[in-house]
Amino acid sequence: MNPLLAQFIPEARDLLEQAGTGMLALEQDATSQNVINDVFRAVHTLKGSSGLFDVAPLTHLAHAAEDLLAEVRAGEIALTSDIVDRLLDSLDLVGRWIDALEAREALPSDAESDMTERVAVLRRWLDHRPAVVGDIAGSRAAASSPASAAPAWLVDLPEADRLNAFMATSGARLLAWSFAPEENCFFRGDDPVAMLRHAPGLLTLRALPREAFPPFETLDPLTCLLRFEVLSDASRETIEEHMRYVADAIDVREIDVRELVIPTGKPAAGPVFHDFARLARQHLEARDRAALDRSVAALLTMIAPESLQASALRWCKAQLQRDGFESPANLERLIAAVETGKLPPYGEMVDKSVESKGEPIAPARDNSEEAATYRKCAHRIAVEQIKALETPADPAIVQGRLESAAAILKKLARTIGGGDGASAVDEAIAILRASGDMQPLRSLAEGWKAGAAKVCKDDPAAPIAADKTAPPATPEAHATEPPAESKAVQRVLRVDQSKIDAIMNLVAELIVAKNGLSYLANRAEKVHGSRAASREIKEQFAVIDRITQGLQVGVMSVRMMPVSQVFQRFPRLVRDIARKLGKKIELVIEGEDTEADKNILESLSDPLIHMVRNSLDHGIETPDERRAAGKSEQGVVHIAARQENDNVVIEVRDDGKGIDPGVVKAKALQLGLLTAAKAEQISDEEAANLVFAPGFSTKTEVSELSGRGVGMDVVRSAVLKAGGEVSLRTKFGAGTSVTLRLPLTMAVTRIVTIECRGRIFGIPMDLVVETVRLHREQVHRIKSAETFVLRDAIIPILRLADAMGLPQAEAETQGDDEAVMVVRLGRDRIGLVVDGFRERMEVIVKPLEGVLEGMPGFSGTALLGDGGVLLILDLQEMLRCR
Amino acid sequence: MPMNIVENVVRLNGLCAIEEAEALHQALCGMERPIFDLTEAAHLHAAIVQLIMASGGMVRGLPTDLALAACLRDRIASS
Repeated sequence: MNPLLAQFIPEARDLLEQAGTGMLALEQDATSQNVINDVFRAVHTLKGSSGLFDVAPLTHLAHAAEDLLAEVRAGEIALTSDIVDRLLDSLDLVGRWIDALEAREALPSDAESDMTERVAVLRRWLDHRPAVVGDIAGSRAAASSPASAAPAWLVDLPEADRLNAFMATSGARLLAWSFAPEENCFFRGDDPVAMLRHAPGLLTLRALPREAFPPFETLDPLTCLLRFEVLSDASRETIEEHMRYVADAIDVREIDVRELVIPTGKPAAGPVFHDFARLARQHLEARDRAALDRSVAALLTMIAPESLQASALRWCKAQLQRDGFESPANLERLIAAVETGKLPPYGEMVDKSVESKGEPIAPARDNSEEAATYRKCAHRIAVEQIKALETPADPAIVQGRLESAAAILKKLARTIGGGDGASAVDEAIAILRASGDMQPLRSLAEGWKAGAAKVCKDDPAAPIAADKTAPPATPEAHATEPPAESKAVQRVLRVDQSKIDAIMNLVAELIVAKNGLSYLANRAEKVHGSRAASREIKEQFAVIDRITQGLQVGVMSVRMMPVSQVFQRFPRLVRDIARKLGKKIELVIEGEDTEADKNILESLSDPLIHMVRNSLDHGIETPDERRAAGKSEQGVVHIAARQENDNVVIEVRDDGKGIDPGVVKAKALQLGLLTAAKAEQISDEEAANLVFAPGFSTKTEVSELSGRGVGMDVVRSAVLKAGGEVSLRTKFGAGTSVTLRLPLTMAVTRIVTIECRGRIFGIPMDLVVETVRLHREQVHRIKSAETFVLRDAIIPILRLADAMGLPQAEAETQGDDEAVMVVRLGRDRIGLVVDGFRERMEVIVKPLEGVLEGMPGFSGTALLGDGGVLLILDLQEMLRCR
Repeated sequence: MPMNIVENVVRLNGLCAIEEAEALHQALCGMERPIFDLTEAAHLHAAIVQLIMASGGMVRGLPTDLALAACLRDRIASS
């Protein structure tokens, strides 16, 4: 397979999984912006990566899903269960295509038609785009409302920045947003500064440490500790689109341009301010712009520039320059600030001037006299700008000055002229930039004065809306724009499992070979009579032993996986089934981080699905039944995993109706699993455990989900096969809990060897309860069965030699003692009579393969240190066969 | 070479990528009041910007790019 495709397939599966999980979470809580971003990113990445291969239907489908998600993310479309169904369905289809890709490196032949159908369904929502309705949308809207509040950092932004932004924007609103990149973003190839440099409509930008920098020597240069504060003259959508890969890290607020007007500084006091306020109000009343300008300028020269009043006056000036008398309320507010040394709250101003709220410039456009005033105004501003440009300055500043002048002039041109005016400014600026010739700009400004610029009366709104997003950045900046999708640094190795298995097999062989050394040590001493050599071999053995153990632990830990691997499919399963059955079910998952060997987990996944299905189908009642039983309508299914010693324990618990022992007994009688007499004797708990019997099913009708009579029996045999055990507790009417207990790892099994008729066998250590020696008299015979009493419990005896049909040894020792190994099989204990106990060891149990496959009574083989083969007994099987 | 250091004057030229960050950090460690000349810098990676800010040094010439200059203008030498 093409190595790129080979890499894409597992990646795609991960992304699908991620998207699916996220979607379910969203259905629960649609307000979580993080989750929706995750889902969006996953689908987006899937679409992007799929584009590398010849899988157009897949790319199209992912694209349609992405579009729909984008609308959901933007709050345009409410995420209904219906949409979730369709999206999940589409992801499932993509999943199947991925399977097909893996198998045949091509999509199925019907992919195109499948895709068209689903894309049509997904697009339907996009086209209709229903009004945002429903709880989900409502809560979303509520969650996003504070996004319009001005951020607190606005005050700390230097006045000059705010002034520049204020002057450079023509609209009534702009965006104040902050960007706090993740600390490890450099590793993902992100460059926050580059992102911001190319952000649309950038007005001003500030970088500051998130918190104080650590001492420079200890600073990690590759950890991002920065935070950025930005003012942009762009729409929220363009910014969000630009920053879509870091959507979690930005906080975008839409603010009124007047919120920038915050005079800062220390308030000064004096009669001069009252005089100014009185005069200024008169000028304001009389709309005498020139007089007001003069007063402002005069006072500015008189007072300390760092005082609050000076700041308010500067704002006053800016306000006049920008909007003239269009915002009298704002001017009044600033005058009050000069008078009192305190800026009156913004709200009061709004009350006084409802009419001036909104578009500050537009109303003036219809009036040609006003337009003439504007042109005059524009000319004055332009002349000022040109004057500033002509003033010699540090080359570092010149560029900035040019840019800001260009921005201001362009806005002016749009205000008085329209698009043509703006492009004329562009040309003039371009000439100035290229040759330093100021003339075109000058004649342009003169033109404005004379009214030569076309006054665009027929479409007054257009110029303002036009080209808001044009970045003021230099043209060459575009050339360095980084690729939008910078690939994250992969710090995880994706390794084919077969490679790990191969290593594990080698480790297993190493362990066996290592065991050979201790055998050799014995031989050296006993056969060759060299104690010294034996000791040296043993020393070497200890070293190798330590290393192999480390190696084994290492390989095992690679194979360990969190159980969330198996659990993550349950939310979907539960949701689908609950919807199908019309039940209300909450799924609670605990201990997802618990780890177990990958093989164990794989062997677990089917039994677990059976168990969960059983809980959903048989356990949890319908909402009506639950209400009648006095429970809450919503049933709860718990899936919990935890580690206990060398086992991983997984419990599936529901608060449903439990198992009725009477029904189980009756059914068991009917199926012939139980005799009438025994049915009388067994406890309710034992009765409930009858559900594990092969072929048992209590549901009379076979539902689609469970009840085919293979359920719990399959669970039990699968778990036993993996070396685990399963138990069930139930309370009729209150719920059922099924617990699986599995070894953490299957790879190395601790066994104890026993001797029987001169042969050696292995028994898994987990099963062994204890070993006892019995006098012959202690063995009681009940009919044909032998038993003995161990601490007040009757334990049946099984003679291993008989059970296996081993021939009588020639000279059987007829001693007084019997060696009995008490083993636990499920819930029972059995005494196994053997000829003797041997050593304990750790071995790798290999399943019986080839012609030996399916041979009853043995679970596998293991290689011994001396090269011999040890058969491991499968006592469960052996008892069943008996 | 985008980095040129003479005594305590650090001149950064052209495109300064993340790869320079560690070298710059090394160079700045123990340097008394570094002075940065960024006039010729076409781009500074955020990591470089961060180092300049954290170093406590002064910037003598700002980059021509406005956004870039805006990030570092707090550190412009007052003289």
